[in-house]
Formats: sequence, C-alpha cells, structure tokens
Amino acid sequence: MSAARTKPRDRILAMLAMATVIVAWFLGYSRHAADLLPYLERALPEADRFESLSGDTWAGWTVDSRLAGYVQIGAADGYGGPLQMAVALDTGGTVIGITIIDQVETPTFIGKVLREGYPQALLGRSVGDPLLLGQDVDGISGATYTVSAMVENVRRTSRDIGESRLGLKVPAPHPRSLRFGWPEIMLIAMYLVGFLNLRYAWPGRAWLRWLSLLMGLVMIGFVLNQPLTLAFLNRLLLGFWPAWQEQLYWYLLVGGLLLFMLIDDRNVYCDSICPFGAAQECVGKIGGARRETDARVATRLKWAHRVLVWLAVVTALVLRHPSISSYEVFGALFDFTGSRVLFVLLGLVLLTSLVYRRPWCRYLCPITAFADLIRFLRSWGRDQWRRAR
Amino acid sequence: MFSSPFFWFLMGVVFVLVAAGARAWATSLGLRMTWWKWLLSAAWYGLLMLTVSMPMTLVGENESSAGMRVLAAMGLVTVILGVGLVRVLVRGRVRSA
Amino acid sequence: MASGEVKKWGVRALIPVVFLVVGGGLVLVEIGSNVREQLGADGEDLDAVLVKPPAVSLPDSLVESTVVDPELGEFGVRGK
Repeated sequence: MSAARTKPRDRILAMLAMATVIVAWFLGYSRHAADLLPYLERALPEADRFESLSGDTWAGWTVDSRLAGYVQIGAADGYGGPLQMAVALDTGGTVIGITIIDQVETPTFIGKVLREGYPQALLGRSVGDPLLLGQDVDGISGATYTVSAMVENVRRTSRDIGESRLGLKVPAPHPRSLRFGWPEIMLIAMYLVGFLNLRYAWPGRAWLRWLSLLMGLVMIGFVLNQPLTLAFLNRLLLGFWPAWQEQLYWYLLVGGLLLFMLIDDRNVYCDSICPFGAAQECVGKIGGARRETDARVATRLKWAHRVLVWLAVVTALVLRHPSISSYEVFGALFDFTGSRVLFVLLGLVLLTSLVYRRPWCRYLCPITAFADLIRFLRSWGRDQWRRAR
Repeated sequence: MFSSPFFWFLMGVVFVLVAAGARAWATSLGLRMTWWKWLLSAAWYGLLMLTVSMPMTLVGENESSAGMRVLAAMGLVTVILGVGLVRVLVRGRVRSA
Repeated sequence: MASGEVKKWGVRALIPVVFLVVGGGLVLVEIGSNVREQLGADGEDLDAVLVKPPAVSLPDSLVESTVVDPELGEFGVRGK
C-alpha cells in the first residue's frame, strides 16, 4: 500500500487512539471517591464515633465519651502516584493505627512492601521522631518511593495533629531537598553523549554506543532498577505529577526522550540508554541475531503492538492506576521481582533475542509505541507547518 | 549408592567416555578445536551439570518451588551461553565433502 | 550481514508472529490478573490491610506497677 493511501489512515487511527485515551481519562475521573468511614474505623478501632474537625481530620470518641485519639487522612507521592493513608494518633502523640486507603503502586512492589512489615513498622512512632528514610526508618531495596510515601504520610499527619490538636512541640518541617546526585548527572551525560553519537558519524561511534548501552544495563538496570516504564507515562497522563525536587530523575528520563525526539526525531533513550534493550542486544550478540524485516509482516505486527499498548494505557486511565497495566519484565530481570507470567515472558523475550534483534522493543515495548506516536505527530505537524508556509 | 566406591568408579568411566566422545564428535563435525575452545566447552558442561544438580537437590530437600525457579533461571542462562558456544565452535570449521 | 528482505513467509518470518502472539497473550494475562487483584475479585485485598496496634502484653509484676492513663482508657497501658 502506498504512503499516499496509508498516511490518511494512520492519521485517523492516531486521532482515534488519542480521543479514546481522553475519554478513558474522563471515565476514570468520574468514578467517585470512596466512603472514608470504614478506613477511619480501621485506623482507630477503639473509637465508636468520629467527629469531623476539618476536611481531613477526625476526633475519635469512645462510647463513654472519652477521646480515643485523632485520625487524619493524607496523601504522598509513591512510585505510581498518590498513596493515601489514614493515620491515627493517641492523645500522647503516638501513632497507634495506620491504614492504606488508596494506592496506585505496582502490585508486585506494594506486596513486597507489605510483606516486609510496612506500614506496621511505623506504629509506635511519636510526634517528636524525625521519621526520615535512612535516619530512623529503614528503606526497602527496590521499593524506595513506596516506603518513602508511607513515611512522609505518617510524618506529616502526626506533626499536624501533634501541633494543632495536641499542642505538642514538633520538629521543624523537613525541607524538600533537591535530589540531584550521580544518577541524575549520569542520565544527563548519557543523553547528551547518545544524542551526539547518533547525530554525528565518527569512527568510534559503534564502540561508544555499546559503552553507553552497557552503562545503561548495569547502572540504570541492575544498580538503580529504574528504567523508563509505562507506569510513569500513565502517571503523567493522569496528572499525578510527582514533586520535581524529589523525583527529578523521572523528569530527566521522560524529558530527555521527548526533547530529542521533538527537536531532532532521534530516540536516544531506546537506542543508547535502555537497559533492557542493552540486555537483548547482548543476548543477540551471543546468538547472532539479525535485523531483518518482512515489510508486510512488520506492518501488521506493528499495529497489533500499538493496539496492545493502547489497551494498557486505557485500562490505567479508566482505573486511575498508573501501574495496573504495567507489563514490563524489567523487574524480573533486574530485581528478580515479578509474577510468574512476567518471568515466562522474560524467558520468551531473551530466547527470541538470540535469533531476532530486540524483539521486545519491536513488538511489545510500550515506550517504542509511544515514541512512534511522537514521531508520527511530529512529522504530521511539520507537514502542516510547511503547507501553511 | 553414592558412598559406594564402585559407583564413583563408574561415574569416572562415564566422564572419560563423555570426554572421548566429545573429541570424536568434534573431529567428525570438522571443528577446529583449540585449548581455549576445549576450556569453554568444559566450563559450559560444568554449568549444565550445575543447572541440573542444584534444582534437583532443592527438589530433594522438599523445596520444589525454589528448585523450579533455579532451574528456569539457570536453564535460560545455560541455553543462551550454549548457543554462543556453538557459534564459537562452529566458526571456521572444515566441512566434509 | 546487512539488513535484508526475509524469504516470503519463510520460517524466519514466523518468529515475530509467534513472539507477538505468545508474548501478547502473556501481557494480556498479566494485565487481567492485575486488574482482578485491584478490583478485589481474588487475591489479597490491599485495602483490608488492618494495621492494628500490637497487643501490649506485660509480665504480671509490671502490669501492677503500670499507670493506666485515664485519657487513653484500657488501651493506655504504657509499657515504657
């Protein structure tokens, strides 16, 4: 089929896809908030009735009108989005009850956090405790953002209740410090080097690309276990934008992908940084994988790939849960965490990578589909611009 | 059985046969074997043995779930490295007329 | 070997088809199971994580000397 015939069809399909994503967003948004009383009762079971003191704070009273304690509902940024909790304090300022109201973390990781004893580990803390990860609270490897959100919830609510309801002296608020360390610096460097390497042909180009990929594999994959995932893109679409000071890494990851795609139509992330792409290429080198395309097969499969990713995005938007449709196998490879299905999928991808170059990227990866859409919209926009001029 | 010297004598015979058989097989396939190719082949063979023995030991210790996971993970690694080894061995082989 | 055209509908052309069918199926199974878990049809209901305060059990000798805080009622046994 000629380009002249496929272009209008592709444009219609792209518009349809984006329109349905917007509809899905509104559908998810219209689902009303849960009744909070059961959560208050779970957080402070000693109380028989609750008196609303403000929008998010209740006093719990026993049947003989004694004050059992206070409950406050708050939310903090987890990995997938806001993690909402009800935190109960007794009148001495000690945390006596915690319950999770709503969370949008990846199911495997929230399960890991719960099995490791959170948020129970925060019980018994008092208003005067620092409640800082790495100081008086231990983190959980691979689930830092989730635990951090729980700790921040408890810290904020306990200090607010302590100060405003109990008249206790509370430590000064923990300032939002800018998290800018070696991961962020490394990411910026990798994007710049990757972009320049793609743009300018020079003798050591292939060698530098391999170096960048291996660095991505080791550092972004195994050390940090923070590659770009569909969950983060869903998060942005849902409006759950995390505080940039604390999660600058994610903004750099997505921003770098978008920036170089928009200004120069080059997908630096997938080509030179993605740790799973690097893993596939390493296996491909061992097995002698070839890059080959049967145009008809490739075109049909491309659309099947896009439909799969579209379905995942729409599911996440309707359920307002960024990680619910996360199907990447990165956790299985880099952290040995994942469901049985994901491990089987990982095995399939790696075995196929022996004979076929980057099969995950070409036929299953949500980031590739997203990049294709950006590329398509950019090309369309440029055509319109040229026509207007 | 495993504490019997005769059993281990038989195991030794089996391994010698495997090594001799490997040599004969390499010759019949026209492979140009060098000392480091033999070393790689022996290392891969050792990995294969581990891939079988570790999970089976776990299964024997009533840890079948762990055993299957180790088998899946190590099995995948063994297959991938095995393919790589075949490519290395086959490179520059003398094809029979 | 440079990139080239694959033989028409040869075995090698089936590799991506099989990969997408099997892989796509696994992806759908994974999404489906996550959605089921979230909607509470089976598996752990995460919202039901009832974080009860640990039961305070003190040796008898200590219980007698512990002050029961009237404000906290029977729950207000301070071990510290």
